[in-house]
Amino acid sequence: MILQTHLLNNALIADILLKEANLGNAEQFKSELMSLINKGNKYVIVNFEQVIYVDSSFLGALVSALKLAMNSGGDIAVVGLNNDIRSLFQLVRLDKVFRIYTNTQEALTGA
Amino acid sequence: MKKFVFNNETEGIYPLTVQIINYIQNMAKDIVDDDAGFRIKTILIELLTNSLKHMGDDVTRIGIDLKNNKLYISKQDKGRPLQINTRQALLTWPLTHSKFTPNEIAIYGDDFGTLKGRVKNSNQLEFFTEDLDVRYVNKETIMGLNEHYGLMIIARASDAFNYKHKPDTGVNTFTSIIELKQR
Repeated sequence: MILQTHLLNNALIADILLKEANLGNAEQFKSELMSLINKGNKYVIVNFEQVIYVDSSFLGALVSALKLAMNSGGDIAVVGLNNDIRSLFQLVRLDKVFRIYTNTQEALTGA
Repeated sequence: MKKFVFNNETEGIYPLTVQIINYIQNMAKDIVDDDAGFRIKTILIELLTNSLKHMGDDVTRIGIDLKNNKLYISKQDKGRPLQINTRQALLTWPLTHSKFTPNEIAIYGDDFGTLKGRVKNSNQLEFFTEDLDVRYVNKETIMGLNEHYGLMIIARASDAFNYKHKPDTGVNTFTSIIELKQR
């Protein structure tokens, strides 16, 4: 299991239980996240607090899940990005696509 | 040039990345600032990930060199030559110039930008990105997003990024160059 989830207000918080978010676990991450969306969770907040780095495969999985969420009338926000991961989002312009918040509380306010 | 061996196991990515970064920081501590550190880390992770995808059980060599404040990060292996199914054609080696006009290949992209390759010669491709300033993102933009970021990340994080295939030896070399600035 990669994602540990709990409901808070109108959002589902999904904590990533990984330090290294890479090719080795991207498919499983995508599958778990898509399953949460398919269960009807409209607003999912993905928490990267424990993650030290993210690779392109994992970013691709996140984008793929976002497309599913958008098609279901939902959205995905990301929180807990360290400086390098935030810079990576900016490098591939995903900072313009995902709602990025410092922490879960801030994301809930924006929800 | 200092060389490091990657055994093409997922678990090896981060320890090797840290080892190489430490080596670079010791070698060029006065010219690796936070931004350069981020770019180096990102390039290394993506080069190693690219290797994992394409090399299987074989080994990959990462080379590090510093000349005139330019950091050269290269990845070398004897796996399959780079294969990209571009918008125009399936890339096969040696490249045939006449297929591409004007010697440029659009590899992949979305509303935010396109990764392109410039054909330097029949065995060398130089990557670059053409970026667009998107101010309004709607659902259509998101549905059209590219999901393959590896080479684009390296191209954007590098000041120059190229691929060479040597048909006689079968050696493939990706080289990323970062221009470091004296602090």
